[in-house]
Amino acid sequence: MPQPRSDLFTEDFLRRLEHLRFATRRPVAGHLRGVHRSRRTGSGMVFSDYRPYTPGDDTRNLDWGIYLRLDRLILRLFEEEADLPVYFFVDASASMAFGEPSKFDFARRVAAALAYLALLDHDRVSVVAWADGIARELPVRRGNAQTWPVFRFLQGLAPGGRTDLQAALRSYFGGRRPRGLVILLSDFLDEGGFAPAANFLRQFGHEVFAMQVLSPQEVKPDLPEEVVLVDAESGVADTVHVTPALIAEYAEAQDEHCREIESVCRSGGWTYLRARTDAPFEELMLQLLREQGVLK
Amino acid sequence: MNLLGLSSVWAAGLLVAVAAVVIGLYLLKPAPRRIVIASTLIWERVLHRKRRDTERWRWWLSVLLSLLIAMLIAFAIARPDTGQGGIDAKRITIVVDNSPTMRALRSDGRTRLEQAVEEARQLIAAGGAAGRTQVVDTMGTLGAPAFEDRRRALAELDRIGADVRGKPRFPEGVRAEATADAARIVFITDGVAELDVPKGVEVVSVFEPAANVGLTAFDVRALPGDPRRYEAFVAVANAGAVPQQVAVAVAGAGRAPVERVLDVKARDTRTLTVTLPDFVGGPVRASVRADGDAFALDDEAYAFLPVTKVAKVALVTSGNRALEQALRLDPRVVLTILTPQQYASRAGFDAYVFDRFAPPAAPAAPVLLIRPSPRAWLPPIGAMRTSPLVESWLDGHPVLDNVSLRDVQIERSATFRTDEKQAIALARDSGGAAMIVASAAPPRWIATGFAIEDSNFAAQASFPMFVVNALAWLLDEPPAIPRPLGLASVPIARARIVGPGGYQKDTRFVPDATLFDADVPGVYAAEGESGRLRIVANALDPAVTAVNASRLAPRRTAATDAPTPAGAPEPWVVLLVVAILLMSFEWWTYHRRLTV
Repeated sequence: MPQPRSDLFTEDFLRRLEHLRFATRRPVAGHLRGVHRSRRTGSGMVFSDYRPYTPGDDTRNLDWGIYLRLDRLILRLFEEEADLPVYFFVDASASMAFGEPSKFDFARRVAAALAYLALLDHDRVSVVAWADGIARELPVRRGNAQTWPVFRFLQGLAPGGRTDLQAALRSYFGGRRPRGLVILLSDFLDEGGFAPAANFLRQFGHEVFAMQVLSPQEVKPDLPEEVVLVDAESGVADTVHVTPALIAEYAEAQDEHCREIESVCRSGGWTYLRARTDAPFEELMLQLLREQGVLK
Repeated sequence: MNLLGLSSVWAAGLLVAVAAVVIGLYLLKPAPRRIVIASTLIWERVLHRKRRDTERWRWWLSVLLSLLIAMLIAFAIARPDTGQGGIDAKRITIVVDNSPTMRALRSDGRTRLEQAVEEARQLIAAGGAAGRTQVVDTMGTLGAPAFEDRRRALAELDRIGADVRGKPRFPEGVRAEATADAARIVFITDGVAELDVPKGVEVVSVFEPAANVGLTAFDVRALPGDPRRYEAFVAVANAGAVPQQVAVAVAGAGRAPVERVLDVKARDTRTLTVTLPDFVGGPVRASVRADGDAFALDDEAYAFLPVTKVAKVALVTSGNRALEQALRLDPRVVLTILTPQQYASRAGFDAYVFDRFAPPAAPAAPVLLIRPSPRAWLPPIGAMRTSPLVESWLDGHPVLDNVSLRDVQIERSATFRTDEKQAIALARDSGGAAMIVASAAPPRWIATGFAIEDSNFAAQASFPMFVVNALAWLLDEPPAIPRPLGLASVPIARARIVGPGGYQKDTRFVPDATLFDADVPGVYAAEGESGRLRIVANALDPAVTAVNASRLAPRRTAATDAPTPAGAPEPWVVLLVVAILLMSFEWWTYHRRLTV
């Protein structure tokens, strides 16, 4: 198997990544052959059910043992394995440029790593960079030969604009999209809130994995006593007299915000993960995502 | 309301300027640093809209607090004064008695003058800043009085000191004001000085009886007939209400003091005569010491003894038994008798006595001439008078001290034509012609117009005294001039005056005399082109020693309530305290982010 080369990851990391694959909770709705369990029965390896034979059925699946015992033609059914549509929704709003390293860099590294896995399993990979709408979109790619185009696409992105997840979702899923896995990579600093967007997404029946990306600077800000805080997206300025008590209040509000996102995700049966940009990346991919059931 | 005496416009301008400065400083305050963050979404949750709305209020609160503090400080510096109260806005004249008796100590350890100044301060403080006050003293040390604001009036008070120079008197200008009823006049005094206080003047007494023992007289003189021995006369007065045992000491330079103890009854005076056998000249100091003495000015007095030395005297005569005997009576005279012919070949004498002889040139030493021959260095001799009568003589002159010429019979005598500049006429006949003359220009000389043989002067009891006096005047330093404390005059033109401490005194020159300020008791030395003199200045005055001879009732003031006027603190103190409290509050609010 040809290995993709990129400065995003080391080869050792990619080699270890190859042992993982996406874990789907439900049968997938892919119509191409893949590695994921689908609702369709066919030429799979896993036995699914029996049904009476009807003319035209593949006689190779007749259960001859039953015919000899009961003198009836019963057909054995097998689960068919299909591919998984994976939609990478990478937040490319201005707020993602914050932090060192920036949240955006972190998010697209995660996206690249997961896309690499998906392409290895011949899943259909779509990458969408969004802000207050669809900023850029990479059409569906399949097969590991598409790794480089996906990486190049991610590397070519730049953050900017305001955050409006609901608008972006409406814009993308307004058209007909097969049900699959939606991977949301964002800081979820959306003035419109996350719940409306989640409710909109929920109606399509996708599996969703939401990763909230946080930078250490916004978790525990280091600010002078008198400061004017300027919103990177809206430009709104707030004069703040920083005290230890205020920082503590901020930390509590930040935590509350994260809990709200998590609560929305959990209520929809989605997977939620909070990731700090200063966390070890390989540990995140190789351990945390497995623990969360995203990968197996 | 009064602010440093400023008009309303200026006061308002001052406050507006202060406000403008404070607001300007707030506007110039550096803007806080701008930091771009991912989103203010979380911060907005923390800060809440309500708190953001209070930002402007916080700014205004800060400005208002700062304005208030600055205004309070500005007000405090401006010493505001409401100018309310009974006498406040009126003009007030404060006359402070600073006569010598105001130096007497009170029971609280302060002098009467210090108490008077404190009373005056309270009066000025009660008058408020709007009041105009005139401060005058009874010794005239403050110069031209004028109605001034409180600050200057207080400064004038600081200049007042108890003065011993001259006599106290109630200021004439204030007397006129009292007559015109132009201002409230308060006279603060101990009531001892005899002052003619006009009607309508409020008299504030600072009198409190004080124990005082002082010298009222002190004199040192040579014993008659023995100029080398002295005796001192001392008068000690007890002005207190209880008898005192007084230690009197008379001390001279380099000699052990002579000490005596006197019991002096209350309000009584005792005298004492002390022989000073070993005193050889120089300053003599008398002092008294008694328990609880509250007035130091009269506790010491000074005299000066001229140095008396043995003198070699040459009597140049053809023979004069009476004159020779008189000279031999003077114990300090070492007499040598010469004939006129021997005179030219002998020298080295301290003084000469020429009897019916006069050399063509003046001798180098002082000389007493008896009926001299006409010479160019002597005044011209006029007509010879037969049986002249000595009509007048200067009995105050040292040469004629204790000498009477009343019974002197003279057969014939020459007279001298002289003027005051060349020589002084000590005795004159009935026609006014000078019969005895003396010149103080060095070398000194004294000349009589009559011979001893032509009169009965040698038979008079005054004759030996005349000879002794004449030699003393010729040989000795002139006796010290007694003067009271204050402005003193010395009969030496353009003299340099050195005080008791050895420092040169400021002087003023008048024709043939020099004026200086004898401010402390002691011996002053005056030296000029025409000679050298000593001046003894003393405060020997029974009226000064009688510090309890007051016409006023005693008034005792507690030391604790004197320094500050009773009642509320001054407005500027209150304003400053409020400003400090507000600053503390602002500091508290700032650190709790209630203000910016």
